[in-house]
Parts: sequence; structure tokens; C-alpha cells
Amino acid sequence: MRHHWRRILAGAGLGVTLCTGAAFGQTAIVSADGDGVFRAPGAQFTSMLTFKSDDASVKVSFATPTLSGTAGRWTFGADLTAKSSQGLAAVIKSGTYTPGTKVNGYAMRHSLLTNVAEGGDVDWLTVQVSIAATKLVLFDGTRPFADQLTKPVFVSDGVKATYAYEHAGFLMGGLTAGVERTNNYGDLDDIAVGTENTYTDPSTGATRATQADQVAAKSGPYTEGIAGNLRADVFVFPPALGPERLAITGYAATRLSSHHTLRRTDVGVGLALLKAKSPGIALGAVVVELRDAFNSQGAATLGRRLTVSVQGSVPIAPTFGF
Amino acid sequence: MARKRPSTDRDGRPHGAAGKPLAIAFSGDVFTVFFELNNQEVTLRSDGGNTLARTFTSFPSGPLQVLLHAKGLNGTAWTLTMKYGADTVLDEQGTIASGFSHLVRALVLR
Repeated sequence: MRHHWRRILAGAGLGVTLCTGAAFGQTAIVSADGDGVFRAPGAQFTSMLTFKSDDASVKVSFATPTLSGTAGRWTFGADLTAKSSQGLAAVIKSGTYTPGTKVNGYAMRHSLLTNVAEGGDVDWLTVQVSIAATKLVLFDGTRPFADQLTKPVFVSDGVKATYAYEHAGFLMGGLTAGVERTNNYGDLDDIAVGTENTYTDPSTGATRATQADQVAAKSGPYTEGIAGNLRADVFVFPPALGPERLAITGYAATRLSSHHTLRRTDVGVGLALLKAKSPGIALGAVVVELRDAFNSQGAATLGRRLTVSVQGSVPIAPTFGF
Repeated sequence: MARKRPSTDRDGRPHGAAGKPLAIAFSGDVFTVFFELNNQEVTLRSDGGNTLARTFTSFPSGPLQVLLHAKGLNGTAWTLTMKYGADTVLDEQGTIASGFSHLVRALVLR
């Protein structure tokens, strides 16, 4: 097994994804997040190194060797992601890199309701288990000065299952259900916290101030809890959009929780540019997302907001000599 | 419908007289591939990229029925090559349409 994984990591399927803005990643098929809702059967052939600039993450994926056919067999894989828990903006603005690590293991089986040897439809089921540890930086101005800036480590875990169906080579749909331990860190306000030192100039008597130790942090009502996730994805690849290079992707994701600050419904739609002769690979995409569409978190956090994100990808395989 | 299966070893190689090496390679970013030789499924193994391949070190000569069924997004290009010894006995290119490509070829290996 170890031998096979090493072989696949050295394979030719490495790529890099550069993203800005809202969560929008890819595995092999355009997906609305980086967790591979459309981790299609063919994607099992590919190991991928992904960089997303919106959360400054680097992800390495690998899978067990895949045989043709294999209907009725499970294949297994894993992702390892290291990222800034505050996003690239915090790294740029304050130079702060707050680490976070996520391990995502999955099992996948295709051709449950379809026949691998017949027809043009294919379906697959993916079960994913993840555990992540993230260092948070929180600021609470109401607390005593020495306790205003805290840096707890948040450990989250979760499980989810996705069933996806592809019809006639142009339409894919996916349904995902899961449960996870989560927080609302991403919905809090971004702030920069600095320590100001003041001193009196001995020659002029003027009071002067210097800024030191600037840190990027989040501010607002921080909440942790268990949340249920429901998600629906659709991927349409109509010939009318062009010479088999453009596709439309859409999704709706709902997070259910007893904590109102953890509830959220996001909806998004995107236009993806696909690789010529390999439309299962997205070269780039523009996505418009309405986050917290029903403003269920209220005014305490960022609340309902519209984001536009742009994604591009550049293959790095030749650079690294694989 | 049950198909008549030829006598084979556990790797799917037909028993019988020794022959030349038979190398099969399929390339393409498809979702699934189903491949048959003489009405028997033969599994191809991923190389970690988008190529599935299999080599029989000794494959008997004679008639050979080849079947390929590949599924993927429309417009996905694929290639299938088969070499028997030093000879290329099959070199096919195709494009997925309506979600699949179906190929049947009758060869004679000499």
C-alpha cells in the first residue's frame, strides 16, 4: 500500500490552483468548495497539489491505485491541508500566519445504480471523515487588557456522505449530508491588533508613539458547536455555451445548529472554463456567492453578504519534474 | 446475459500456447472504463495520471475481440493503443459523446 501511494504522489497529475475570494476549489470537477463534492471517479487517478489564496492553504491529495471497472469496490484516499486560519489577507496585511491543519480521509464507490459497462450515466458515493486543528486569534475589547487577545486551538471533526449522479455527459448533481464540530470564526470581523508604545522625547518634551507587534485577529461573538450540513450541487455542461469549454455550476449549502451564530445558508453560481479535450478539469472559474442568504446570524457578525471570487489554475508538474 | 468465458489464469490471461507480449494502454480524463478481451473483463491499472494500462507477458495469437466502454463528460478525448510484440495492432482515438464511448473491434493477432 505504501509503495502505491508513493508512486501516485510522483505521478503526472499534479496541479496548482490559485484562488482569490470566497471558497471555491477544485479536485477534478469544478466544486463550490475545496472538499471535492464532485470528487468524480476519474479524479481518483489524480494526485493534486492545490493552493488556494483565499485561505492561504496548500493541499496534497492522494488515492489508492485504481483499476478500470471496479464497480462494487471501494477506493480510498486522503487529503492533507495546511493553511492560514485567517486567510491570505491577514498574511499580507500584518504578516501574521496562524496555522491550521486538516486531514480528510475518504472512501468512494461508483456505479451503484448505474452499470459501468453500459450507458452514459455514472453515479458514485463518497464518505469523508475529517479532523482539523486550527489556531485562532480572537480579540475581545471588553475583557481586561491582558486577556483581550487570546489564541486558542480549535479542533474540529466531522463526517459527511455525498451521492452524485452524472447524466449523459453534460449534467451532474450531488447531495451531501454531514455533521461536524464547527465555529463561526470565518463570520467574524477582521481586525489588526497592535501594541502602541508611547514615550516623551527628552529634547522637545513631545509625546511620541510607536506601533509594535501587529497581529491579525477576529472580533465578535465567537461560538463553537455541533452543526449539521446539507448541501446540493449542480454542474451543467451545455453544448450551447461554446465549444465544450464552458460550464455552469451552482450550489446551496445550509448549516443547521442550535446556535443561531452557527446557522448559515449560502447559495452560489459560477461559470467555469474547462480544459480542452479534458472538460473534467477546470482551468478557472468566476463564482458569485450570497453568504448567509437569510441573514440568520443577525447583525452580530458579518451577516448576509455577496462575494465574487475568481479562480485560476496553473499546472506545476513540469516545474517539479514529475 | 451470461457470456461464455474462456479458460484463463487468475490474471485473466488465456491458458494455452505461449505468445508475444500484449500491451494495452488507455489514456483520457474519463470517469470510468470497462474493457473486455474475448468477452471477458480485463482490468487496467492506473499509473497515477490519466492512463490505464496492462501488459500480458505472453499472449496467444489468434482472433481477439476487443470491447471498450468509457464514460465521461462530453468532449473528453481518449486514446487506446494495443501492441502485440513490436507491432501496433490497434490505435484508436475517440471523443466522449452523450456521456460515453463504445468501441468494438475484431483483431487477429499474428
